[in-house]
Amino acid sequence: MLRVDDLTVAYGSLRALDGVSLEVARRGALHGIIGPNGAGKSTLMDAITGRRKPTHGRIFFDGQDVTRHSVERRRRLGMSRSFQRTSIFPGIRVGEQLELVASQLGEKDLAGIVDTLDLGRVYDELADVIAYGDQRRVDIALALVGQPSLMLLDEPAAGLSTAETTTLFEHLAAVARERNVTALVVEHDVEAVFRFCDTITALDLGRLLANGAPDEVRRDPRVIAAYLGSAA
Amino acid sequence: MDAVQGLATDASMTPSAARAGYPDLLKRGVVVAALIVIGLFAPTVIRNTYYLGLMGDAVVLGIAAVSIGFLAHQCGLMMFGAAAFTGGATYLYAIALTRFGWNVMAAAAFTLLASTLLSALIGALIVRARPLPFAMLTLALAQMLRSVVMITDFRPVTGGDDGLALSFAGAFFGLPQAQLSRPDGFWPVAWLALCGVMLLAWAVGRSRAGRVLRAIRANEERMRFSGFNTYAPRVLAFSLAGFIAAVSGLLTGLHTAFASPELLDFTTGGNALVSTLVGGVGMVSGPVLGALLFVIAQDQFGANGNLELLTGLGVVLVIVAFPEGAMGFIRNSVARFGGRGAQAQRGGDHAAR
Repeated sequence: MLRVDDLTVAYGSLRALDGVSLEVARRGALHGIIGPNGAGKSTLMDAITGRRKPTHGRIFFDGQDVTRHSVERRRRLGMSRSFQRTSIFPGIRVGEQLELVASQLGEKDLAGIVDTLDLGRVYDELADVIAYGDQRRVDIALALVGQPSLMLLDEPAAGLSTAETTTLFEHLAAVARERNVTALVVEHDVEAVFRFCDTITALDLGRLLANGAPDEVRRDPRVIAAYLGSAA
Repeated sequence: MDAVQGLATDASMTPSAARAGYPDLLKRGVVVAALIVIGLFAPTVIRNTYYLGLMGDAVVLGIAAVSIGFLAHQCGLMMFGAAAFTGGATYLYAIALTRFGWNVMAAAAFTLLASTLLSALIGALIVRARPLPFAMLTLALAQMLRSVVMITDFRPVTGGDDGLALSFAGAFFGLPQAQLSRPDGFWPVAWLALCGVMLLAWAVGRSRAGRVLRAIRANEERMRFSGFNTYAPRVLAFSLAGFIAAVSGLLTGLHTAFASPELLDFTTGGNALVSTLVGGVGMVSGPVLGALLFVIAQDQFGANGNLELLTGLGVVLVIVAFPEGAMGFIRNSVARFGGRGAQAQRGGDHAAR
């Protein structure tokens, strides 16, 4: 479904991503991306979704080379994302913004998305006045509209409490399973990642450290040394 | 949650339409049609030619202000150099009449078409700019055009410092030039043009295109990540704003029969800009109310010899006292006394304008 070949993103002499290759094959699964600050996690998300142009390397999505595709084109092909800072439409009602995006992407089951993410009670509210946790779910709902096959979620649990994080990941796991959508999740809450993700990629200083099942990654000495430490 | 369940059966229905309901829309349509017809008879009520002339000036300024307000509300872009599009249109009309020798209808059609196309071209170059650089680019454009029309080499076309006096032999929708130069003869044309551009701006704001534009204004990156092209709609909005401004410029040409470099000056665009700020951009009618207040204030302030001082003070006071403009103040007051939450009202009106 997603294949990244030898991806490099450089800012001048600094390589934020340095020859990273990974493959996400399974649909309906959660794939976590972990690593310390500056590991290149968000840069990887940006490069995959077209927000940032790679210096080198290729990105294949459903067998198609999308390296040069625009953000909009990738979205229409079924690749969506949410952002580290909640990215919704302030001043516009939750329902109105979801309907607008749904009409653009031909979503037939908006009511199902609203139901799954429990947004019914804030549907008629202005998006910028609802609780932060609700805003995060609106952000995810916007990424979920249009039946994407791949969702990239950049720190979806940022700013949430442990209980809210658990609820959110339960929602994500349910969404991935029910809608057969793969979610690539960058997240600093290591426990949540190891508990809910089916596969995990660990990055450090722009390089790939490990890639595989949670238990394999948790035991990897390089991941322990660079990121997990005593948490392993 | 009722609204959510409704989606399953009528996904195409707009939220605002769903809230307002079509019978309500029809009722509003009847009221608007009645107001348009009643407005046509203003000259029978305002018999004083001077005051009718002021009303005509307010309408022409109001149309330019609608153009600025439309772009500000839909795209979050403020046009400092509206004079480029109003004054430019007056020049195009004058050139088509006096240099090309076209009849008045052809010249008017050419003016609107060419202005809109030029707006599209300019928009394609500048709509990607952030709001402040965008504002300054439009201002630079107006000042540049002002310099161009005064270049000696172009004098045979533009008239240079002297401007272009124009005249036409035929009739504009049955109205000869002599009649258009009189306030009572000019009024029906100006009034209908104002109603037309207001309805156009309102309809676009209420349409899906309007919702797309406001969503782009709210969060352009999210719109791109939602599969929307965010560039073309803004170019189209800018083109429409240019068209509306051109209507104002054409009316100036029809009424005054003169195109002068002052029409391209910052102060000309500044008057429309101030009108927009005074009236508010939240509703289509805001800039028109602002233009009316501006023209009346100019008349009163000019009479006691302190025009600029009092204008400056008045503008500061209005903007400080009514951050959402005079129309925003009226709307919020009506909502408050009508028992509706101002917050809810603001959200709803932003969608429907």
